[in-house]
Amino acid sequence: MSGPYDRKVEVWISSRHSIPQNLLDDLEALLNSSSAKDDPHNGTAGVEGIYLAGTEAGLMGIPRFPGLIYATDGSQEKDNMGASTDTKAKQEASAK
Amino acid sequence: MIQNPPELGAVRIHTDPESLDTSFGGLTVSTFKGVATLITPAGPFKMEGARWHLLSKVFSSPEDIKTDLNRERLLQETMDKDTNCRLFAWKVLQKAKLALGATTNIGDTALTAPPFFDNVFRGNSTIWGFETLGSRVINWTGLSCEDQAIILPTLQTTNDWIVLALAGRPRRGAIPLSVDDSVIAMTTKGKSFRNRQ
Repeated sequence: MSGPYDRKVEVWISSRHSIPQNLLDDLEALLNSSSAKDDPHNGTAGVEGIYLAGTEAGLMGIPRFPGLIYATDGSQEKDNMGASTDTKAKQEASAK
Repeated sequence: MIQNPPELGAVRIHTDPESLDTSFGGLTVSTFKGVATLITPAGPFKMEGARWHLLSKVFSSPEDIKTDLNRERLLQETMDKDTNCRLFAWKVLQKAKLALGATTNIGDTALTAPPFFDNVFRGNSTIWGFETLGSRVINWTGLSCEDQAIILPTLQTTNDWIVLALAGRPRRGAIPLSVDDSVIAMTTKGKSFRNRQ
């Protein structure tokens, strides 16, 4: 019995435009990735800046806040308690 | 620890998550914990808060957003039920974008289009940015027959595009992807799709 996703995917390009084979290989690997989740992407291309400004942190002005931010978070789910701390300075340091 | 603390400061305490009024264009909307709830004549409609914020800035006008958003919503619901349509994962679209240096995406709706493109359009509908013949990543499965017919001649006259399509017999009425000097760069199983809403 065939399912809705049984048909293969074709990638068409113009023969007049050269795309490096390694990039096509990367594209094929991603197309066949079984991960169902797209990781959050915090880039600056296109209209990403506007998009990110509408996230929960963005609406609170956190990305634009010039000072030090210290945050704590806790949760209790399925009888397990979780807690974490984070700082904006720490995030920026780890990104460098 | 703050090494050089200011002499004056302010402390703002949030004891509970806050619901923000993000209404726009006559649509009553509240955003709570990253989710926007739009009050529509058909009932509440939820979407990512970031998506709503983006659409309220770059999509349509305050006068037309109700109509335009409803059109996109109905189209997305139709696409979600069509087994010939695919919602390619953002990581796939981003890699295709990088391979070309593409600035334009074609074939998504306003509810799914990736924000890392400068321009998004479909047929004669501009989602954001403007219609351009610059480098494009095209989801052929997300286009209606009419939209495919509009775009096909532009593929003949340009080179910098990547088209993602489904192998095999096209659905009834669909335009065969027939472009001079085009090649199939790969045919692969392809299972990296976004979950349907």
